[in-house]
Amino acid sequence: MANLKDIRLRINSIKSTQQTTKAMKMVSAAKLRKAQDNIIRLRPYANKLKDIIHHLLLGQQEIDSPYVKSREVKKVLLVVITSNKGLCGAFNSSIFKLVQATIQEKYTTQYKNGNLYLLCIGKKGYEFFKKSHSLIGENYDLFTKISFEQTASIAEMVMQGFIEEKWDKVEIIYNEFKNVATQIRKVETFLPLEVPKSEKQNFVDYIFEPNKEEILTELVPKILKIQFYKCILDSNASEHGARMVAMDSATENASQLISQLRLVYNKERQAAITKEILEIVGGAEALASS
Amino acid sequence: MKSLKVIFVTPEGKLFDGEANYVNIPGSNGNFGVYPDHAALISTLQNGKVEIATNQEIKSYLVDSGVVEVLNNQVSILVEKIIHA
Repeated sequence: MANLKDIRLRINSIKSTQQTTKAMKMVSAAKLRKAQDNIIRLRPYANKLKDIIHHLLLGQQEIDSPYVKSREVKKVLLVVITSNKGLCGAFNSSIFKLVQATIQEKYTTQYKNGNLYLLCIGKKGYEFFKKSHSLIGENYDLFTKISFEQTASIAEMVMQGFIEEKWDKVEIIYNEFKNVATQIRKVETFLPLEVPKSEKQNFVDYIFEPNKEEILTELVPKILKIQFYKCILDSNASEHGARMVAMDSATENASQLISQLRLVYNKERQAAITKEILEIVGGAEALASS
Repeated sequence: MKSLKVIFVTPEGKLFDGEANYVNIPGSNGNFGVYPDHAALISTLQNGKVEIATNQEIKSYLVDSGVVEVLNNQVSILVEKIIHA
């Protein structure tokens, strides 16, 4: 059995760990609220824009936009969105698993031919994949300070690469924010832009101003950037949610450990006292009988 | 009298969501007004003033660029940035 001092030291060290995890939980909770606000405020805009694009493309046979044309998938780009920091439960590792599963299921041939590229946003993903896969660019750090401009410039680079046929398909793998405790891992096709199959009954005869083509050339890049931005915000909110939950359970576990150790400590202390009393009594008896 | 249902959103959130009597929009081909029963329309916006007239007041926002959709008395105005409220 460990002696009293050891147990006391352990209890103290667990206590200080618990304080750290508690503080981290608080920080994440504050950050989460802000991140959640951002994503919730963006969603109506993103959804409306998507609606308009869908209306615009409905009933159209030939869509004249370089971002919509799908071609034979020879080269694939996967955009992997992870976090910069750890201690957030299975947040990053589940993304790694999903990336590997996606490659196995869909892109084995492209991977074997060396035509599969990864673009990592977030340090964790970058470090995980930099040895095993061919990466595009360095580690893009967007999460330290999230801004639309910065995000848009990366989206533009991806879109440019698509037009120049550096890759024929782009998918984003990220955590979608559902609520504090739930993140949904998602594989979303970014390019070519997916167009819903035209349903004739929904067709509306719109007036276009200035004309359809110009609206399309203006709106399609816009929606792509917004979609990219939305993924970033989603992932950011998810990260803080995941960290909050992870830290909460860590704090909980620490309390449990402490209460168990306390029990052991008290038992041990009592045993020591009992032993001492027995020794004294034994000693006294020995003296009395002599 | 019929009224329009107007939604005015930016990436930073909803600015207006409710009923209005008419809306003035700075379209790329010139300013135009939208009254109830307007034909379906999609237009891009240029630099100008969006005005939303409710029963109480006329709200106006200075915008840079964006897009508007009119469909079944529902007006959706999407703007990337508000220059001045």
